Amino acid sequence: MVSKDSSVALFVFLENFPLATILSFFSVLMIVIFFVTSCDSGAMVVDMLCSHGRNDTPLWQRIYWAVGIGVVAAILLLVGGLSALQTMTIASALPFAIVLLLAIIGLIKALRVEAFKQDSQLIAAIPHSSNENIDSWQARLKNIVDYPNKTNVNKFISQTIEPAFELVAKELRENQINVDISHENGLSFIVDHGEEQKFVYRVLARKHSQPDFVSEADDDDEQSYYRAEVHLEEGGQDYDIMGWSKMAVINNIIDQYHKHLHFLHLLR
Amino acid sequence: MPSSTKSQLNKHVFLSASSIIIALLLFTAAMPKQAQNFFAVIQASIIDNGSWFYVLTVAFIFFFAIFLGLSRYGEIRLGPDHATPDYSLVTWLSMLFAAGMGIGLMFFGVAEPLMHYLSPPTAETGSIEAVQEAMKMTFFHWGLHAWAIYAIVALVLAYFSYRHNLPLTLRSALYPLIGEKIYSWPGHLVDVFAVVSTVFGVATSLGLGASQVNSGFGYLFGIDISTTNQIIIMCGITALAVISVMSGLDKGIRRLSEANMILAVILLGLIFVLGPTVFLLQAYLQNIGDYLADIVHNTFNLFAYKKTSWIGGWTIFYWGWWLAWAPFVGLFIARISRGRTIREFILGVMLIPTVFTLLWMTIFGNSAIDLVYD
Repeated sequence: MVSKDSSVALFVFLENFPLATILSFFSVLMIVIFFVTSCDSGAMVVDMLCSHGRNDTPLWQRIYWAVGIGVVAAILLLVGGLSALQTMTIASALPFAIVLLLAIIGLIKALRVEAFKQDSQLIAAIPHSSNENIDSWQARLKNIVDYPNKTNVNKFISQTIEPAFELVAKELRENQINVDISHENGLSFIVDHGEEQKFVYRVLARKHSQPDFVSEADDDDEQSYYRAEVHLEEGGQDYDIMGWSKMAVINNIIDQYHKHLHFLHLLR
Repeated sequence: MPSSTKSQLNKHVFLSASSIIIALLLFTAAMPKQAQNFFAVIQASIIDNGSWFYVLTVAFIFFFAIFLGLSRYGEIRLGPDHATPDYSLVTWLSMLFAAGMGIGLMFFGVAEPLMHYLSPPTAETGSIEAVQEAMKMTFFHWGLHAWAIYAIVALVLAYFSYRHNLPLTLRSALYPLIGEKIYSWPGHLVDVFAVVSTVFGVATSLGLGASQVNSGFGYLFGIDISTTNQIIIMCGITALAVISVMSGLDKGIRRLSEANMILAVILLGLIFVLGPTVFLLQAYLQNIGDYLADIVHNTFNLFAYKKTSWIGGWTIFYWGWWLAWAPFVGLFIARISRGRTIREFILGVMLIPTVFTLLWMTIFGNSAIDLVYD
């Protein structure tokens, strides 16, 4: 009986148990939910494929595909041809396998570049104490136990970081190197290397929650503060340069740029 | 992701895919017999001549996925360096599980071990060896290899999309090879292919699955098994899917997947407790051992010397099946995996679902074989 019709195998099997009705009910419920999620996720994936990979598409598009899948299934059920098209789908695995193997070669190439990038981050290029211009140890300690708000961080970005960017940019431009300073999405310092990968040093004010041991009564109602975080092309580097002097910021840009040039060297 | 630009419909892909779907549908509806023969001949010739290629491809993907998870590349994040995962571990696993295998487990959890037991590839029918071989082969078809295929496809898409800011569609996988051409016709073509295979893949599995829901309702409420009822079931499922679509990924698919995970665990637990509990625990470990002991042999096994049609009917069928589903499932997994490292990703997609799938197969399969064997 099972080998004749695999769709009833599960229910025949469940008959051998006590509570068979409840178990069968659970199973049917699960099958229905699995179908609903398949139909929904299928519609979502197809819709993304048709919308440049975007997910925030108009509702009618997603409904079009969900209903479309249902209609295709119903028509095939009615006129026959379900197994014909299932065979077709499985046969489509052959061209896909070829595309996939090519894509894996591309992935390996790209991952090798990532490895060079990681290596270049390891070179010791930090000869300066990052904060040499803070004159006393008291000032240095004050700086790391301070939890500034957004206004202060933004002020720091425009009053200290931007002038630092300008100075480095001026110096580089004198050496015929193309530098762009952009205010889009934080403040970015971008060195264009033409064919090779560009260098991006971006400072972003990012919100974090304060550690529990800080309990100041005069704080904002929300226990959050902002950090001036450094982001490179690959994303956030998880360190905060809030309160650094202009000199220290300049040295940090140069350090990161040095690492980037080392990365380009490894890549060549 | 905050973005001011409105998303744009890619008319090339949308219109070509819709027309191809309608054309194929008309061709099949007008001449179901010829269509069946046509595709069956193609499939048979792929099995005859291309089995070795499928086995090689899947073997390569399998070992490559393990290598990636263990190598230094495992530390690379699918997203900018500072990204964090969008979904919690349990939610993420539930969703990838529901998309990856859900229905198949309900369909084949009992049927496949039984069918192998009744006609095993090498052992004698009805013997103890046949039981062991049946479970080993089921594990092989539903285990690490299947999830490795999904994992690699999803990884390629997620990597290029989140790390290199390319669109999250299949075309981006070709960026390292054809560069900017992915934005013109070669790229459109790849996406049209993925749309057509996804729509027919999901639709045919829904259509074939309607019969299972029908027989389930037949058992529960005594409803007839007929095409009319199956069409009604299809309409109901589609209506529910539309509601789920309207509520969005974070409500619809997510909540349903979580609910189903809970149901799956309860059902599994009940069968486990009501069935031969201690035997099932023993069998699970024994099956895992048998599976792992033979994994290299089975990965490359083509019955090249001792010809049999078994391999084409089962292993090659499954490899084709997983590969055919991979653009859909891979893209879905990529969509929900932003912010995880490659190591976390490989471990999460390959290992954890496999452990659960194999437990499912043991509890349903071994219990069923046990009933027949007695």
